[in-house]
This record gives sequence, structure tokens and C-alpha cells, in this order.
Amino acid sequence: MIITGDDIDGISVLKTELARRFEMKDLGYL
Amino acid sequence: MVPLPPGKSVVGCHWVYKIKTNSNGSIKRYKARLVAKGYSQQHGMDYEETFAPVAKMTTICTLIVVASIRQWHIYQLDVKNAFLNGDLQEEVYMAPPPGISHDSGYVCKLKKTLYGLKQAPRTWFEKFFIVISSLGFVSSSHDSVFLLSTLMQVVSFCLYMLMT
Repeated sequence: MIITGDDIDGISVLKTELARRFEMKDLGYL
Repeated sequence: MVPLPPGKSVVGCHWVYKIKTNSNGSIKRYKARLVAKGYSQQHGMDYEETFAPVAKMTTICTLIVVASIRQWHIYQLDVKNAFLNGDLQEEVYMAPPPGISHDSGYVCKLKKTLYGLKQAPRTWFEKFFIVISSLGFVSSSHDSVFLLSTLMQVVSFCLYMLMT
């Protein structure tokens, strides 16, 4: 999946929440 | 492991082994994945709906264009073994995996989807959609896997499949 937006804090919360529910791999910046 | 109920069909399975290599050709890791032989599943018996949405290429392109004009970072994430997260609704019985000792007449009653099952992509998307909705995201009317946040200022993302 790709994520973008101007809410940097929001994106980091989203990443944390996703990682709580699924096993995620952070591929960094596209 | 349960005895197979009368009148139910059994889906086979097998192990898929793959050697992942680094770009220089050296061995990175040995991968084993148990896959179900979904081609033997019968519609109406072992599965119902199979449709699952995948991001349209134009959505991804547009998202990249908008992000670059507004100078947003684009983050890329992957869900490991995504299809294994799906909660199976139908009753699916699978032959015990090769190499696992078991009593004769016993089969595996699946709780989660496995790669290869007809309903795996759909079930995964259902699960993902429940989670992402609970985080305040809604689907775009143009592309159901283009998800927009209702809580945050401007956050959007889209989901696509990459099979390796």
C-alpha cells in the first residue's frame, strides 16, 4: 500500500495502528 | 483436526519452497509456504463470492502526481502474508499438510484463509476494510481501495497487490 498526505503525525499513528493489527513491513519512502 | 463430516469435500494442499536471493545472487532465505489447492473448490459448496478490489493504475498515478505537486512524502508499506489474515466464513476442510502426522479420517478445519483458496483475496480485503474503517477511513466512490481519512487533515492511501 502507499500512504500520503500532509498530516505527518496522522500518518505515523496510522502506521502504528496498522502494525498493531497486522504484521507490517515498512518499505520507507517511495 | 476434526473427522470429516459426511458430504463435505476436502481441499488438498502442498508446500511451496522458494529460495530468495539477494541482488548479487547470494542466498537470502529459504521460504516455505503452505498453499491450498483452491482449483478443486466448488462454487456454492466451498466458496461463494470471490471478487476483491485492486487499485486502479490511474488512481496510483494520480496519487503520486498530487503528492509530488504538494511535496508530500509517499510511504510504502507491505502487509506480510496478507492473505493469511482473512477470517474464513465458509466451512473449508483441508487434507493435513504433507509431513504432519495425523489419525486417518481426520482433516484440518480451516479458520483462516490460506494462499490458493478461492475466497482468500476477498476475505483479506474484508478484514482489512473492517480495520481501516475503524481507523476512520472511507473508500473513494471512484476506487474502493483508494481510502481517505475522515479524521486527519489530508491523508489518503491506496492498496494494491503485489505477488512475489
